Amino acid sequence: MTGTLHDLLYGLGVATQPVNLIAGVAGVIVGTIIGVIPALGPTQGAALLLPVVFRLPPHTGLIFLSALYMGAIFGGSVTSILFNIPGTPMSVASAFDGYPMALKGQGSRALAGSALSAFIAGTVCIILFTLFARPLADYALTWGPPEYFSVLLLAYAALVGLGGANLFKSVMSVLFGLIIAEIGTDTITGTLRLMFGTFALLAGIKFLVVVVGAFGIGELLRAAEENIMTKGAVAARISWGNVFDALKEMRGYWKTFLRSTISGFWIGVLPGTGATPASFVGYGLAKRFSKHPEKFGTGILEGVVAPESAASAAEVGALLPMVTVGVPGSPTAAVILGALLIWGLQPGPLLMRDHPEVVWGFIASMYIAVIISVTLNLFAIPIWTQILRIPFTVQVPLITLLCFIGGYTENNTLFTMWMVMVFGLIGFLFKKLDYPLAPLVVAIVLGDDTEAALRRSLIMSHGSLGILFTRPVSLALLLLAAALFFLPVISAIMNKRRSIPRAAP
Amino acid sequence: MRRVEILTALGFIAFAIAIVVQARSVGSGWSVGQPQPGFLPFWLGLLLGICGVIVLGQALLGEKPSLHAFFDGRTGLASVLKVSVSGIGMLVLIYLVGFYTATMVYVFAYTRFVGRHTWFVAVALSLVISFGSFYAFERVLAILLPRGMYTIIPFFG
Repeated sequence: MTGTLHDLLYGLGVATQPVNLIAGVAGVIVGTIIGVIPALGPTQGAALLLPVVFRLPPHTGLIFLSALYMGAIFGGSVTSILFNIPGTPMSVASAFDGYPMALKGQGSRALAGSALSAFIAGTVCIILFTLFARPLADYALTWGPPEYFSVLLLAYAALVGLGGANLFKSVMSVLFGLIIAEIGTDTITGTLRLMFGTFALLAGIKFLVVVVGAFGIGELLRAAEENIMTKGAVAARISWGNVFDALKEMRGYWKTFLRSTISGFWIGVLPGTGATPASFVGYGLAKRFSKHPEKFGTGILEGVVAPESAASAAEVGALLPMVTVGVPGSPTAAVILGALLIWGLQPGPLLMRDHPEVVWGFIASMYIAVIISVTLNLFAIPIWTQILRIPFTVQVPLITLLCFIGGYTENNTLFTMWMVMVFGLIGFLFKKLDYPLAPLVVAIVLGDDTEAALRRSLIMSHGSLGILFTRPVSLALLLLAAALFFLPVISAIMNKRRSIPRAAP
Repeated sequence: MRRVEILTALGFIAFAIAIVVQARSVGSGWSVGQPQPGFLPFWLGLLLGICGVIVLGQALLGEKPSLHAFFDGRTGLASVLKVSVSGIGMLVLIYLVGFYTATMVYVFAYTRFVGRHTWFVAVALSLVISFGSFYAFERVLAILLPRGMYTIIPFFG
């Protein structure tokens, strides 16, 4: 315990060296710009800047990357809340209530709330991390594929329970995403499958292509149809008054905040599940346990606090498996892990022993990055929102080009640019017909892991699904998943029952 | 709206059938102690098809035929077509003349003829965006964007 505290203080010492602080500030600025641009997210930003980052020493480079990560997340929330265009998938849930707030002229309050929840949740989780890092990692390590598969089912169940009006459409969205994730080469046996007769699908369809298409181009199409861009022109100026107002209001939401932070941290710890599912679970839990669930989606601060704190908590949690066992907790963590490997550092327990300055410097720098990102960005929001002043007819070609480039960098073929366009049209159709998009994207991100976990479980049990129900942790997770999945159905029936006697006295 | 709803459900069902057929072709059962590659896709496809049929049924049997059309009026359709068709045009241009020359043409055409900005603004934007992206991606970030079949401007492609 005192050991970890000592390590963290040592890390803070590394992170606050002048060179590293400058790297942090630069990372936040670049990251926020990347985050504000709808088609670019933290994963792409980190990947795009890797060639630059390699020229820095490892700990400075890592601080730059984590600052970029934090800045991009914040930038993503800015566009999500102000324009209803999630800059990153993990800020999708922030738009549910953030955008209605912005339309009501409370954009700055929503942004202050989002930044503060991210900041406080980050702080709480850094403390959790340092206190429970080793025992938690040991526990997660005892999990096998069945537990992991059940946890993924839990994430899908939460997404469907949240999906909106039509249960079947939400389920279809999940299934469609899972199928897309399986197109191309089967990672376990190497078999080519579901290629629709074209070798262009050999490498599969990556989630980035779907995200950039469905959210970038798809949103552009909807904005064009509804002229949203001009409607979304919200004046956003942050004053200290707003910050204190939001802080005061947030005190009333401490239960929501705690629930989001703890579930977010735990979801983040699980390999493969990152901030995106955490933000949805956070939002869903807040809505479930709320005394007035009908107010969610109309623009209340609680609906911003819940996903933002869960996402921020998951960011920190996602580092746990990466640092301790070398399994990235999120796509961005995967990019950072790739960077570590190029520097010649093998992530895992040995890294903690041999290069403590890298590990603890990195953890501390996440924290420093949150502070820089909040202070810098709260005041810079008016600058970022200048993007609004750009006429829509100039934004269209710019965003379209960025979407194409974002898709192209995924595997350098012109074919992926076409896929971006196709998923843009699919995304538009989904939105028009109320098929939820979030389950699709999450399912694509987690598709490979889901399949691997299921197949390993089946190999363990020689083909019997019973293994998911006979292991206690797995069973508990499945029951929770079933509860989340069926809760909307049950509560709808209960409401009907309750309303019938009232209707017929 | 109802017609699009039905067509989409039919599209999903067709997709699901294609997946099930392809999954069966690589084996969707059990062999040498593990599930075959088509195992999960087969069941996912089957479930997707079933859900598709249910949604189709909901759309067909829905008590109230939907009141509004897919697009409210022609302006919505026109705006969506402008964005999507110009984007597709850009992709065809990339194939022919490469990314940067295509960008120049696309930005100019969009801002001038769709955005109705002045000639000066359109030309300036097209030059700034195409050369700016060339510098940023090709020179600074060392990301090579696609070249076309024909080179119009040497090196710029």
